[in-house]
Amino acid sequence: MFSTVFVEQDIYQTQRVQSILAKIKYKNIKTLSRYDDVWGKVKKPYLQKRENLNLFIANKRGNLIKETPDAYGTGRGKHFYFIHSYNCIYECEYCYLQGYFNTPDIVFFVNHEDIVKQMGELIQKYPNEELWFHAGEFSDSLNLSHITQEYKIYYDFFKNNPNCFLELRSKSVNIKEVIELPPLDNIIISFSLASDSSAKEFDRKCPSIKHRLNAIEKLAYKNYKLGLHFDPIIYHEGFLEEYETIFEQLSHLPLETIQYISIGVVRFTKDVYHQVANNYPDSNIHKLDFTKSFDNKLRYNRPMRMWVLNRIKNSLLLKGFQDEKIYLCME
Amino acid sequence: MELLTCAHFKEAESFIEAFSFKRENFNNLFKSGNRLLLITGEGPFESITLLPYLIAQYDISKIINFGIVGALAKDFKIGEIVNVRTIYFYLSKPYFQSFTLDNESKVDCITSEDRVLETEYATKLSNFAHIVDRELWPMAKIANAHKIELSSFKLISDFANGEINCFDIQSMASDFSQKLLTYYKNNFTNQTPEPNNEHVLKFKASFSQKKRIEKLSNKLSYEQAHQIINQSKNANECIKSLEYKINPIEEKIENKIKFIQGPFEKIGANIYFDQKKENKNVKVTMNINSQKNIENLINVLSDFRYEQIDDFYNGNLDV
Repeated sequence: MFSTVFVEQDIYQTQRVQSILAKIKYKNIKTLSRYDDVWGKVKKPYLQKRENLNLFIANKRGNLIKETPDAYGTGRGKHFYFIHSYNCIYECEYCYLQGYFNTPDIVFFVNHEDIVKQMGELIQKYPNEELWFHAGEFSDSLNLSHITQEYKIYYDFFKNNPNCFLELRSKSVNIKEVIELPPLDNIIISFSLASDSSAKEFDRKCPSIKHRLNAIEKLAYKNYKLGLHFDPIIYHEGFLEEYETIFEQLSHLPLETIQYISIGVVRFTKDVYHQVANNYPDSNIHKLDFTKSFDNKLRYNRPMRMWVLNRIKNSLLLKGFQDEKIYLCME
Repeated sequence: MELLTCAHFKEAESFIEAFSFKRENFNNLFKSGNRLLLITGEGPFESITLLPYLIAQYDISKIINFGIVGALAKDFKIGEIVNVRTIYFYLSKPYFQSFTLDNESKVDCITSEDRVLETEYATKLSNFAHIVDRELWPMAKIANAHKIELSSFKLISDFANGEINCFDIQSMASDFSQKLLTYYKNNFTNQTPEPNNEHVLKFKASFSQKKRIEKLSNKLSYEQAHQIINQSKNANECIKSLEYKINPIEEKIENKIKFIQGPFEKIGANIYFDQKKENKNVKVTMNINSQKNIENLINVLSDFRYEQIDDFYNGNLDV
């Protein structure tokens, strides 16, 4: 799976690292003093992840938790994201990671206890606020969780801190680690979903929508708290009918398990847009024109994207989803 | 014109003979028909001394670099020829910028400022690439700046681990040169041109209209675009039809704008929307040359509600 695994010398012998190494396949292994002596030092083209993907196992230093941008999350509470991994094994054509880091190589940060410690400090700093911690900003939260096995550490922390919330965001169906532990009201497993044809076309190497829906169903019937992200929506002929099919399937689930639903239309920073054009020049993502919008990101023009969002939202409401649980993402 | 480059004369020998290259006004530059051959000398700075001059003097459309390199990974065979995918640079430390020459290939190269004489240095370089040379990155930088296509194919002469025997490599030089020539002949000469799929326009179109039609056509299948272009009476109609085929919502947006504009146009006024359709501002203009104009404008404005604009920007596109 990985070409070369680079492990920071200090942690090489630890049980956690050895456990990860035992579960993965790789051609070469090297140790180094700091992962960032090599990772991101040269501009490695994104698509080399297809044949030449390296893995770095390291300790994260510096800021482990950061405040999210405005217009992130449900609109209530204070939102943070934490970084326990960089990059992803999936290859979504619109993914902003292709323009964010200078390399597609994956990093597993293994000092989860330090992250949890910083979470505790934030809880103390904001005692009267509803705090949300999101994972999956720079990686998929679940797809390799059977290898990294950090879920239990966060689970224990949130079990002891029921007033703050954890969101694990994923396109994966790898829920093995999650269902081994009973549901908690403050841990939300959220899934990114798209129309079936969009997922087939743009969510390269990701599980199909059918399989994602199966995972959601399994969790819903076991009473896990769920989030749904219909984001990014990419316009195509018949998109609404395809989304309606998904809403119909979801509407049969116990709806009280669904905590929130976000909807958002495809958007790019200028750099990411150029990367997408470079990496996927023939992609149908470029079919429609994009325009510089309110935050300098490139989006469909405002009437167009609001038309899309309104239709999606109305369709959700018609299927019985509650208005107060639906929010527009980054609008 | 095609420019072939290599570092050493020995590497180029077979090429000089096969294509009857003749010396040009510089000792290390040769010409044969539509081909130039430059022997750059060894090292990152040597490799580019003449390159900008040649680009300025000759109409160079393509550069092909070839040469022998050391392998940094074990999975190569001596004598194997590889196409370089991405070229990196090590100049005392890893240099950030890289250039991708061939996405289809799987072998990355790193240009080293120094010869690789120690295993430790080779190991360091192997963190970034599979093979090491001493010339390619600066060449790629210049080719990229001048938007000239660059390819590089390299013959693996040894494993760069500090145990290189230069005399062994030198004794193999003629053989390596012949191999590189054969590879070049098989892969870079007599390439068949791609079929021309351009649409033929039956109406007059300006340069920018032609460009727009071409850009829009590329977003549709050839047949879809062909049908629309054939049915169009003029360039503007063609562009609109292509745009609406690609994005039917754009037609709804334009119809809504026309609907809002209607009462203004009737009295000779205009209402302009933000070109990017992002800001909710509109601008109303009218040439006034009579009291009647003023009264008409007052009547239209008093019936006009800003809610219509709000509605439009909130995605209500029904007319």
